Amino acid sequence: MKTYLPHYFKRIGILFVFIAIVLSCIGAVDDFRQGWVDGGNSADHGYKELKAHPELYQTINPYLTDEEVKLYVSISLLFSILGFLMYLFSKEKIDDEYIQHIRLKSIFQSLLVSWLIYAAVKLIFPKYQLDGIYILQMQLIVYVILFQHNKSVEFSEEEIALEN
Amino acid sequence: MKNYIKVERAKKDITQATLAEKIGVSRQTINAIEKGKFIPSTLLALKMARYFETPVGEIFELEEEE
Repeated sequence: MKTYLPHYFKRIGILFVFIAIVLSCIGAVDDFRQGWVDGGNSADHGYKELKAHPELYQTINPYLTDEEVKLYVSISLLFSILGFLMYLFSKEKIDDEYIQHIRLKSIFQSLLVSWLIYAAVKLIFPKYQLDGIYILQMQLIVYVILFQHNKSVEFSEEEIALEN
Repeated sequence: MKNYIKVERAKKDITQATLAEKIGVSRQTINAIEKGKFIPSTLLALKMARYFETPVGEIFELEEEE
């Protein structure tokens, strides 16, 4: 797989993901507060549903309007996807064919693992809604974790081999 | 696939790091190739052959079952 961005884009990508996490937490602040009141968030009854049926549950007085929440979540998603893509397409310090081999292996594994996670979520929480974009985001998160893992495993084996 | 990179390195008295630097890859890549964990591309094999001034066939060799 070709990488097109210089190595420092990896750090910019990580910064974008960090911004995305912060924005996502701000956007979900009322959901967190509702979960605090209820003692936990429910996958079956989201915050929006609770707000539509105030007779069923005690609802909190929201800090943000629906439009603001949507805006925060959309911007967060944009930053997150951009950040992960920057990470995916940026070069390593020495970007040779061995690291490309590890990268390809990680992409294949992340495809399988994200499908397994999707299947597990659907089996355990059948009512949980997983939108397409979140599946793609999950795949990118899984890729980053697996790539780091594969790289550290392959490279640490090299170190051990050199020591012996 | 068997390889004789270690032998060729010994002849030239160079480390994995030096070889890696000369052909533009990481030391980990050279180590992975030496250990047979990773099969290099034709391009990389040719670069090694050029550096060692020997035919590719003398650095890499197919095994019986291959």
